[in-house]
Amino acid sequence: MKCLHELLADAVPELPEVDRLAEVGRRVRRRRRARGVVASGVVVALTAGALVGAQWFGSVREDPVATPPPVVTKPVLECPPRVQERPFPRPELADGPVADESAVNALLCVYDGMYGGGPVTVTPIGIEHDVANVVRAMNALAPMTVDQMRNIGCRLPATPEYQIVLGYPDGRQQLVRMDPKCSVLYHDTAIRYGDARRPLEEFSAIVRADGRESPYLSGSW
Amino acid sequence: MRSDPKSPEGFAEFVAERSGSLVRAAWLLTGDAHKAEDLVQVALVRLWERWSGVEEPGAYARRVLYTTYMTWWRRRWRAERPSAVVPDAVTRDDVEGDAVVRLAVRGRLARLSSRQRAVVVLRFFEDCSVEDAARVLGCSTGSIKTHTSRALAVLREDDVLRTLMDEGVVL
Repeated sequence: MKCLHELLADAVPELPEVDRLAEVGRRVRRRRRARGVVASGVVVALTAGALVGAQWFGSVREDPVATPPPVVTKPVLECPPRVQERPFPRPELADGPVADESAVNALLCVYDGMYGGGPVTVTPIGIEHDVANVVRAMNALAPMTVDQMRNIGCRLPATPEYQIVLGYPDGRQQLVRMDPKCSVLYHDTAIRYGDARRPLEEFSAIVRADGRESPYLSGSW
Repeated sequence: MRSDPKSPEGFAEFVAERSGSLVRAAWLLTGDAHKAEDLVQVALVRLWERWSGVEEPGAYARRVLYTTYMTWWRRRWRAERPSAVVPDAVTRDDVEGDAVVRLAVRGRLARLSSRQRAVVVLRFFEDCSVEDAARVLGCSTGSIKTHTSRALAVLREDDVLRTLMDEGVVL
């Protein structure tokens, strides 16, 4: 036997799934812009000489309303089984940032035993805040000329290898190889020259700030 | 782990948990999926703007939803009242068909005034008490009782719904 509540509930058709939080964000931004336009118009009118009532108009201003946060999804990151190969030197690889600073999480992958002929062990450790600091340290490294790319010199081969996997809110992932012994950092479409320990040190500082131990120790390269 | 209810993350959780029921109530009010979404968005934007100061976000969103509905109906939808096609002759088999009952309910809702409709949705879909409904719509409890009585009378005029009522459905 049905009651009126059930009859009403049954009368509602299947409604489309909508990202309502994102839509609220869009509407709030639109309202703020509209208020901004109104405020600008008022300012123009004031500067045209309407001194009388300036105080009244002057009170028209944008509400300090923040945009609601987007739903931040953090992709599940995993360490690749092997390290990325250095890309073939091309001029365009020198330009542009290594990665975008909007990454929401990151995973440091430390590869031990790559040069001993035995099994390779991969140690992962993740961070979920201040990832932009790590990315900024990557992007701060200097671009290389093609000649520099061809003549990269490396030292001390028998050390761990490092890669960082960056995760983005839209589910994208970006793998960046750090090669401090060759003083380079790269992925398949970017390569930078300099102290490639800097992003690793930034990463480790965040891990230590969380009260954990970092598998990367300064100078361990 | 739940976020601080007053934080932006708390708002995101509220939207995730409550917007589905808000949009279903809005559909019963408007009879249109787009208008229902629009109505819910207005309520959520207003709620967000006052998020840190609102004590009962669910009650606040509901109040904005219903008062906005009443205002919009007066301004924009007066000429857009939908009317449903109800079968001329109702048989027992028809009554047992869910689709026919759905159409009958929709058709009858469309015949209610905006305030009667709001009262029916509040009282019987959202299970609000007379006092709560009066608070949401900003009127007296006597007014809610009157609108409820008239709305139920309109619902009972329908052959399908009357047949259901004869079979024990409480209308």
